Amino acid sequence: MAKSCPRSGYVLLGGVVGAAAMAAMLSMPMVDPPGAAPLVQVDDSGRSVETFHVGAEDILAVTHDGSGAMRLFPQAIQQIKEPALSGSEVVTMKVRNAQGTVIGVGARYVAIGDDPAARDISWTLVLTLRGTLAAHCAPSAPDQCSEVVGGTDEFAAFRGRMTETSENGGYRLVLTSEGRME
Amino acid sequence: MTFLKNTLLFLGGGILGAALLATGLYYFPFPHAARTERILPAFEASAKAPEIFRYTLSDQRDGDVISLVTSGSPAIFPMMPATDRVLSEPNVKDGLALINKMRDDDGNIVAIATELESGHEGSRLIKGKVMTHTTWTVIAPGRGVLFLYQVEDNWTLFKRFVLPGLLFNKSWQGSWKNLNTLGPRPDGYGQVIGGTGEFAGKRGHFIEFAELRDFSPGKQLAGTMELRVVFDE
Repeated sequence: MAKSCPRSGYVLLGGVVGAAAMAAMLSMPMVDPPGAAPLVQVDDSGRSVETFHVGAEDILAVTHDGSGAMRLFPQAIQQIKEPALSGSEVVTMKVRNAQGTVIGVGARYVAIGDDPAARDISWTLVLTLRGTLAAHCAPSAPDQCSEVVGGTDEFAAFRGRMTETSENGGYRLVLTSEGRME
Repeated sequence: MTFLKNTLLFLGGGILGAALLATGLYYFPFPHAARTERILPAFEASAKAPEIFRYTLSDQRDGDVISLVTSGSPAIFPMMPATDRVLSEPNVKDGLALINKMRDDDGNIVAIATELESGHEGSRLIKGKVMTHTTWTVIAPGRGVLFLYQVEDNWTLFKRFVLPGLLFNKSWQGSWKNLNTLGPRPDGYGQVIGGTGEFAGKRGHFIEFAELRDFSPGKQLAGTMELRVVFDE
């Protein structure tokens, strides 16, 4: 080959190989999370039940007007001082499955709803490779019980409720479907 | 000696080929990268009175950004406020959790919001796609809560600002306007996925439109970001 191939042949061959290697490298997924299969159980009524956990160490940020239930975090976070947002509280967090694996991020919101004297609680969960789940608990609803009001992907057609319970400085969330699992 | 020379020629060709491909990719006119010019006018023509939620990106202590948490690696912009509690786990390391105040079209603070992101598994440099699954939750006290979902693409932001910043510590100031939304709707818009209060049961679509004014590595982005939401009749 050394005698039959001119110098430009080696450059050209190298160029093709180099371009192919670069193309292969750039074709690799930029994002490749492992994900986690849903850990769903079926209760006696045939409904699907999935539990999520948020530990105290999973809380990313807490802000409110100074009168919120949780301590502001991080300490230097900006408080909500605007009158238009009075009574609001937002907490962002990592979300774990029942085995303790971090599977997504979430947020809990407290805000004045239809009734100025009462507070609504809402939740957003963004679970990696599974989708978004939106839930809302009106003041008139039973304590700590949120209705799922929207979602994407796995949760796009989900109907059910999500209950929250305070747990070790964080939350325990139980998502229960409406009706029997088919 | 000849073998060594030919090997060097081959390696030189390899480096040249790789560089040419990377350069070609950098300048390749991906159709989705021109969506600001293509989709924004269509949105503005069809949306007579979109509801605007706008905030300013800055590092001001009392600005519109209240909290910003990412994985911190690469350190494109700092956490706000500084924190060591970051999104480091494999399932969230490509994500983001933002809390911010939202203003109406007149600049009045009317809501508080979160932007929660997870990296999009379809992101590929060879396709010019650096995407996230982005969920906006807008809490407007006395009105209700609005849940919005979009696929966001940051390819142009990545190649024009982030990459030069990471590689060459290069800063930029000016005015760059971009439609961040890439979908998931076929028309390129994001979608309203739920709501409470006056937003309960409403369906509609939205876009996220940004103006970047300052990108300096290691500092907070400066500019404005707005959501333009249109509800179905």
